[in-house]
This record gives sequence, C-alpha cells and structure tokens, in this order.
Amino acid sequence: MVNLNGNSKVLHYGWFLITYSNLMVIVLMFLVFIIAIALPSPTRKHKIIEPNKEVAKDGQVISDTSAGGDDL
Amino acid sequence: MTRSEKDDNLSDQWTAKVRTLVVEKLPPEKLLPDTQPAYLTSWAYTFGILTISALSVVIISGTVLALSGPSWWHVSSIGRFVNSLHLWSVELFFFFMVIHLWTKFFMAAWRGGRTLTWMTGVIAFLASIGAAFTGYVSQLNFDSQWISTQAKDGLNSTGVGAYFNPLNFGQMLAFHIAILPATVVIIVVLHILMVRVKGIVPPLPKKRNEILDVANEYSGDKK
Repeated sequence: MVNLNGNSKVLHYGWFLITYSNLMVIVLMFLVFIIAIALPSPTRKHKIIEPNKEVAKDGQVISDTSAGGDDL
Repeated sequence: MTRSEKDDNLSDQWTAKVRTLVVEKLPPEKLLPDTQPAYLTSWAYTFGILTISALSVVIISGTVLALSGPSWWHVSSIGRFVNSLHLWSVELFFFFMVIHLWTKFFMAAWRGGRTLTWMTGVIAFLASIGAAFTGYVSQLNFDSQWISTQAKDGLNSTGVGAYFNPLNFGQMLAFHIAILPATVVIIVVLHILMVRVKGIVPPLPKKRNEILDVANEYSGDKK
C-alpha cells in the first residue's frame, strides 16, 4: 500500500519542511483529539456517581464538596 | 511491655513512619479504586491508559530485542517482526501521549495541587524523546548512521558532545536499553501514583464566565 523503504516525500514551502508521512500522523492526531472530545462515550448509559458527592445506600447525599474550591 | 507501649516504640521506627505516611497519602481504596467520578465517561480520558498500554508493548518487545542482541533483527524473520512490533508500539505510544498531553493541557490539568502530576508527565515526555532518539541511532543501518552524524553536529554545538556522543554506538545502546527506559518507567509509575493521590482532574466548566472564575481563582486573583 505504502512503500516504507523508499525515499520519503516532503512538503516544502519556504521555511516549512515536513515529510508527508509525519504530516499525516499529526493530522490524524488532531482528528482523533477532536473526535474524542465530540463523540459521546458509550459508558454514559451506565449509572454514574456524581463527582464530589458521597451518597448513602438510600440515595441521600451524605456530603457534597462540589461547591468548594479545593479542586480549582 | 503493654500493647500500647509496644506500638509507641514501633511508631518511632522509620519503616513504621514511612508505612503510616504512605497509607495516609495513598490508602488502598485510592490506589485501586472501584468507582470513579462521572466526568470520566468521556473518550478524552482514555488516552492516558492507551499510552501506558503502548508503553507495555514497547518494554516487552524491547526486552526481547535487547536479550537477543542489537543485530538479531537484521538476520532473523522473527527478529524483524519483533523489531516492527517495537517500532509501531513506539509510534502508538507517542501518538497517544501527544493527544493525552493536549487533552490535559486544554483542561489545565495542573489545577488542584496537581503540579507534580503535570511535571512528572513533562519529564516522562522529555525522557521518552531521548529514548526514541537513542533507539533511532541504535538501529545499525544507514538510517541510524545518517541520523547520528546529523545529531552529532547539533549536539556538539551545545557542548554536550563529550558526554553524549551519537557516534558512540555502545553509549547510545546503553542509554536506549537501560538508562532512559528505566527513567521513563519510574517517572510513569510516579505519574500514575500522583494521579491516584490527587485524583483525576475534573473538566473545566462549560460556561465562559465560570472558566474565567477558575482562571482567576487559580492565579490568586480572587474576588
């Protein structure tokens, strides 16, 4: 598919110089980064525990530190 | 001697003090938690473990290559396979590590006393670049000869050539298979322990003014 043993092809524009393979990897990283942020996780459907809240078995909130500034 | 006297004597020992400190900072339920905050249910939080997974393959394949000698992969089909495994796992390691860095950078992951977590990540990243570079110049092929002669000129201009010489194959191999991998693994373990101690960083608030509040609070400019 791609000959990895041959000479690399480069994109050269003024001071900008990069091989197409490296450029492809960087573009792919950007895409994966954006998709990871945009795409909802399948684990969202599971029951989730609210951050900074300690909940008893009957569902009553024992402690809630979410308003505190400790994490900021 | 009563039980309490015995306990008092024991608590004076440095081992007891270290144990108390470790358990205090990192109790078992924090070291190996069975629940995590809700904000973790996002793809953005998966790149750390993906990086560690790739690093595991790098270390295993690298150990096989190191035990078989630096020229084995040139003359054996299995060697070439293990070498390819090593190369592509390194590619994935850097791929995931850079995305992990971006996600943590844009959520200001050094918040909440997580400076050491952030800094161990930075050091692991820099040590990984060194490990990858010394790997490139240890390949024993034309590629490595070209890279080492080019790097030699660059490094000599900084004055480190007497201590770090890319044309010295033995030195590069020692850095690549012993010093730098050990550094990376130790720093990564510390990084994970810091994540466990301080917890996984929560995302920034969605609203712009709330983000500004966080930024002001972090910079000490509290209202």
